[in-house]
Amino acid sequence: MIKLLNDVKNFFRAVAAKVLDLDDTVKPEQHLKLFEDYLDKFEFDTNTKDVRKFLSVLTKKHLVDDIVISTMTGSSIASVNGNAVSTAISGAALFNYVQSEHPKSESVLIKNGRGWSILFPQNDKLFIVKASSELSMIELRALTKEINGFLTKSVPGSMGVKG
Amino acid sequence: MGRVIAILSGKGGVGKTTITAELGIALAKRDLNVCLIDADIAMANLSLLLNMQNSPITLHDVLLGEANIQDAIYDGPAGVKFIPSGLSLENYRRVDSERLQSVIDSIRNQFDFILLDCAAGIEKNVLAAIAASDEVILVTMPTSPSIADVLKAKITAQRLGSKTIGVIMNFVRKENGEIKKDDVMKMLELPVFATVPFDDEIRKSFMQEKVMPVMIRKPGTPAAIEIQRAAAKLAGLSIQIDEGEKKGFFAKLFSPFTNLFKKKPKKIDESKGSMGGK
Repeated sequence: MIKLLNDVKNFFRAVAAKVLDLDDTVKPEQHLKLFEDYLDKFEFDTNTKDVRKFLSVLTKKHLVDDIVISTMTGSSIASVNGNAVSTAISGAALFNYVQSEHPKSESVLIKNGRGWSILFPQNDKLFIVKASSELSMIELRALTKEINGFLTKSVPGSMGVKG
Repeated sequence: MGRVIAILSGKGGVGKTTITAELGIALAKRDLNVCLIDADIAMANLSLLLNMQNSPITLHDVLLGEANIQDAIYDGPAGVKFIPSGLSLENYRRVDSERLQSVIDSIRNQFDFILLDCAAGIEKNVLAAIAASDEVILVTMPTSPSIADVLKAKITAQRLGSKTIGVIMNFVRKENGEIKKDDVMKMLELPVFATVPFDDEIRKSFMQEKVMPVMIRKPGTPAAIEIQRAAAKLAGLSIQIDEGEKKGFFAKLFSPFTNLFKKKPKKIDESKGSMGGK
């Protein structure tokens, strides 16, 4: 009996909704499910003392492919893959040459094939960043700020860390 | 030291500019020193909402290094200060938005709050505004495309080292299919400062001979009340709702006659009004 009454009620409700064009919107649960874990994918744990691990996490956080840190004279300080001697030397040589020609230059952007190499000096260090798109100075500053913070905090006399 | 807060959404058309203006005025009405900055350098229109579109010196001039920031600060409604962006497309192309941070740093001691009305998207000018701010408030509508974009905006703010402190939900109609406050809090992992209802008075405030924010024109409307609540929460103050002057039916009916006998207020010199009162 109750089932019959419910069926009748549902029938009239459906007719009323159709005829009166009532609000038939529902929450997009599938979208909510999609968003639910979205932020978790962008949680980056930079709480480590391992410089390579730290830089590896930063590449994901800042959406870049590679990070090399060198002195302005081309000595490698740190890098993601741990073998960046030639990158550090050529990066420093290139930046120093550009700066000798253009003393006010703040960064050097090189488009190479599908990606970009960006040379950015800060705090007596040269940051060599490879990415699939060019980064703005704002993004570079945010990236280098994190690296400088890490080097100052984790590695006393940070200039001596070898990549 | 003032708090510099970027009002951000990712998606366009969610009411960022309106929320920035109304929130700023609500804070100013609580006797706080507030400065609104139109950081939407390309599509500036906060000045239209505040009816201050003819300001001679703008943020563009300051970012171009052609003017001092102090000369670009104007008196807005309810004691709020305002730094407009220019409407010139030519200047927009030349502007160096990366200077925004140093410009803001030079005035942050003058105010309790500096609110930045950001552009939609996560392009260079938006990044500059985020990087120049200490905190970010996200504005979203209760729909999934809007939520998707604030998620990206939150991640971008996090990447640039700015702290996202909360969300304002705008255009809330309490329909069945809307994403609810609890869902938003869970997804964004942030508190919701306010759920601002869809309020026709906001739309109407653009359709006046003299455009005036609803917080001035009709502070007792539901949207304005909710924004006043958000302002109180943001400033850590007790909630005091200013509902403006409320008139009953008979008062409204006879107001044309009673107004005849009221003493006329002194006429405000328009040349020293909202535009020139630096």
